[in-house]
Amino acid sequence: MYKRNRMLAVFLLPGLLGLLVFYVAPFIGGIYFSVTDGSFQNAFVGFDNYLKVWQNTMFQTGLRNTMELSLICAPVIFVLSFMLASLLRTLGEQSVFYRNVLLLPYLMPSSAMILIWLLAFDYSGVINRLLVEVLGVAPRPVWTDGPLLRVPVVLLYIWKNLGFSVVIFTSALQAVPDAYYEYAQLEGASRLKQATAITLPLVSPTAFLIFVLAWINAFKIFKEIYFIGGAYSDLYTLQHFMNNHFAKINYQYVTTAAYSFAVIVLAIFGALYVVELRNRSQS
Amino acid sequence: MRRRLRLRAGMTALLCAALLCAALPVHAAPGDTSLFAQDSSGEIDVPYVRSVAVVGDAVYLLADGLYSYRVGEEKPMLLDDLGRGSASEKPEQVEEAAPQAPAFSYDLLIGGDKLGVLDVTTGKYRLWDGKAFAAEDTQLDWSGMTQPREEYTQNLEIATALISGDAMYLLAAKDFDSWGEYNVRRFELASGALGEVPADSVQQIAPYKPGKFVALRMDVEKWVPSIVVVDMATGAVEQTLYTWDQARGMSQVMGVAYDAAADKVYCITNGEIVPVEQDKLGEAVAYLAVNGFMGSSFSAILPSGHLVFNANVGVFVRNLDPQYKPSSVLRIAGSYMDEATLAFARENPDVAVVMSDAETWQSKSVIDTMISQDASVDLLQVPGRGTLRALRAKGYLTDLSGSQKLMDSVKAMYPQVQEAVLQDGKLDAFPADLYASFWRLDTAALEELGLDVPTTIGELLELTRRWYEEDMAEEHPQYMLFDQYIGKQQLMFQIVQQYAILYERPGEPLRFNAPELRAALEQWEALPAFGPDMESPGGGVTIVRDDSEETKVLIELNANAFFGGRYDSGEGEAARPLLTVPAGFAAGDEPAADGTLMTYVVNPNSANAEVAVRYLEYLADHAAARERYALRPDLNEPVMHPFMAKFIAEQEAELEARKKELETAEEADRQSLQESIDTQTRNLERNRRNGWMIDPESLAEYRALAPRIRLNSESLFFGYDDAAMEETWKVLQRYAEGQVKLDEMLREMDKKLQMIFLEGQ
Repeated sequence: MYKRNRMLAVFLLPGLLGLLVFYVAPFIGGIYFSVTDGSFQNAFVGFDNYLKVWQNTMFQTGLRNTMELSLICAPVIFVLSFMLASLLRTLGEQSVFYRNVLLLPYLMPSSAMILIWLLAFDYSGVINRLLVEVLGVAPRPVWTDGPLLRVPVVLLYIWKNLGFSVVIFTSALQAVPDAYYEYAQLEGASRLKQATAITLPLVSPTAFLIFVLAWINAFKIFKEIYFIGGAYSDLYTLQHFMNNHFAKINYQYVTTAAYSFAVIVLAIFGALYVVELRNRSQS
Repeated sequence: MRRRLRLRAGMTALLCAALLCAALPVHAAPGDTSLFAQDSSGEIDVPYVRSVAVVGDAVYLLADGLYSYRVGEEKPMLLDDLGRGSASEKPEQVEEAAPQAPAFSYDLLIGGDKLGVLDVTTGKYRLWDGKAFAAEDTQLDWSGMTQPREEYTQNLEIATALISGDAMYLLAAKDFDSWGEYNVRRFELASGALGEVPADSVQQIAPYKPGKFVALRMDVEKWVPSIVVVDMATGAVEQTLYTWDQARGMSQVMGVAYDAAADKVYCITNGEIVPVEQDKLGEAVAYLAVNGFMGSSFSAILPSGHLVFNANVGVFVRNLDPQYKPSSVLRIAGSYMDEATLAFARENPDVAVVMSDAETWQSKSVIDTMISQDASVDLLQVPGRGTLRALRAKGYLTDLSGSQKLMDSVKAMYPQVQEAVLQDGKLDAFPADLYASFWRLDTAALEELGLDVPTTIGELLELTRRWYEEDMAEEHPQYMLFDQYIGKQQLMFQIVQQYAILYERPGEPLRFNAPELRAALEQWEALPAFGPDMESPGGGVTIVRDDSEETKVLIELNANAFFGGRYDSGEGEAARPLLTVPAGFAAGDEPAADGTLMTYVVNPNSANAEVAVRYLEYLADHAAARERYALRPDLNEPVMHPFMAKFIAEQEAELEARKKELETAEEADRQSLQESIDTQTRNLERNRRNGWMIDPESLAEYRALAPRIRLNSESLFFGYDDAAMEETWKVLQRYAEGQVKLDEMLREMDKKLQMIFLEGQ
């Protein structure tokens, strides 16, 4: 037993060491930055930074926009991926090709995707040319800034993340025994009834995972917004706040905002997890 | 008890000796000297050293004559004036077995195994056999080394000539048009026959082990230097001793030399003489504060362990024994080795001054350095508007208020400069220089063309409209309204910039959606497109000019104040252009010019803060006149260039002598003497008019404008945050290109500036 545990420790060590050095230690070290003033003297200021950050208008704007983007993107991905996965299930063997096609954008480097998007949504880009020349829209809309920035960003997010969610959903759907559907069909259940009464309850743990991942990915969409819209775009997110303060070497605000956000995220996912556990125990 | 007393007495003696040593003036290392060193102020008047060679333990210098020098001697000894007849000093004593130089023009000394002289135009050389020069020249195969020009013969630039074994090696320019690119050419000593050594991209060569050179090589594509060993016979690179680490910043390697006694290669980088050790540079063994050098500058190490370096402003000898290193090293970033710094280094041999490559314009990199407690730089020259503000916000500035000299100097500066460096009476930065962007108007030409002289942005835009819409540009091809860099788009950026200078207030974001700016930009929109940005939408006037045509610029929008004045031939030139500040947008706007203040800050992590302050105190009195006059309104005496002052004094003395001569001259000689006096008087007057470093008119002009310079140190628009700057300029660029309408641009700008402002709260 002792020998087995020792071997286990040996195998776990590299991973744990990496986790400790690159995640746990910086996470704890960052707390130090969030409670000091970052000056040459580096004085301890307690929760002053937290108070200042929470009162900062742009932090509030960033938080609001981040949540708004997540609330748009996560449900859209959830619904679309479920629909597509259900559709692919009906295609049988042929679904493999379409699934791989859908997964391609996920494997594509972000820089290439952003470049395509910039070319498409540029002031003189393909989209605007189509709008002007085919539909006669005037004046040409500015997609890379202003309120319209949400359109390319959400589209890019969907294009990039949909395939991954579809793949996970598909594997979950394949695990549902066909006999359930055959029985339901014999009982005269409609497709919608089958989906809500059989499929969703049986894939709910996977659905929860997909929803959480979609939400996390929505939080991480900053890179795309930044390269399309810039550092002070209409879609100013929490990552903008942190990135801009990092550029100003205001590590105190960066870490404070990061820990504040971490608390919020943990609270949201904690609540979702509780709901999911309750649902699972009821079913 | 007695032992203890003896011990105490011994200790006291030791302490006294130590104190005595500390009190003694600090001297440079034994053998350290400079030969024929000049400075640009003209205070040191010495002949220019054209070529240097080392043979054995002797340094030979070709200046206004042929000199020799050995370490320990007081000064170079003149061997021969080479028939030039211009040597500043005749030989007091002729060195035993002194070489008798041939009486024709030689331009280059040949060193290495033997001493020789080379005429770079003809390719003739003579060797010195140890007692005298050979009686006859030997002709090198000089084909391809010269090319005829209209009035002279152009020769390939030759940096170094070395004799090794039975051959002479020349480091010569690759071709007649290349600059700084050299090849090695090999000539048979006996026959003069040319044989190529295919070693290219070589910047400098020095003798190494038998049959080899050590060379400084430059990768011209990546601009990365390396130190290599080259086989003399084949030109093949046998070994790379060191390749410049690009993480160190801009490459500055020179003075590569081989110390045969210690079997070590040394080079000079950023004023430090360092050994090359297994593909890395070792710790500095000595320091050399010079400017004016080039990558190809001559360098050699004497058997005594002294490095000889020809810096083109003099030849410097440095002892490479590390025990004689100065007690402290002052590392400065963001500046350069100017005359004041060189003078400080000369007067403080206990301090080595080194210019660092560290980045100082980007506030992020500077603060990163500070946060990581990096003490590798002691003093930084940073822009007062960006990096200084960021450093101050983080408390990374050393308090300089303890220096009364610096405080007094700052208190004598312009109020806006004082405001930028004094925080609640505490001095945290020392001003280094002040620039400002004025308008320079050719008022005489404008009046001649019947145009009103603009004083406000509105008037400037109206004049621009008239110039391009009323075909004045085509009617007057000899004039340009703006210089070639100002087109319609650039004019818009100028307007916005001027608006920010005038209307931005500390503690609140600048508002773009204001009637003053809107009116000006509407006026701007109505202009036809012109200038270098012809792709502006809306079409317009395109003025294509013949570059060869001489044109006069009527309005220069980004003119600086030059104290040096302009050349005045005294033959009734046009009136001096008016340097002025724009009055702004609306009635009542105070005229203002955008100023850039450069400041020195002391790294709070530095262990040399005391030396850094000493240096700043020195600069307070000795910085270049242009810098001191730009910062201090109390300096109002015009300044003549020192060498011109000396020259004028000589001319005056000569003129006086001529006048006295005239009084007693024979009648027959009087006329020619009078003509000579008249010519000399005219020359003297011209030199008096043009010999200024700070001329009275420019000074008066600047003094009248300087109070109008605004530094806007707290500006968000001209802020230190690159991302914010980039964002606002992106919106302006979209507007300039016609992608967004005026209303949208104003709204966007206000929104972005508001975001930037709120984010920093």
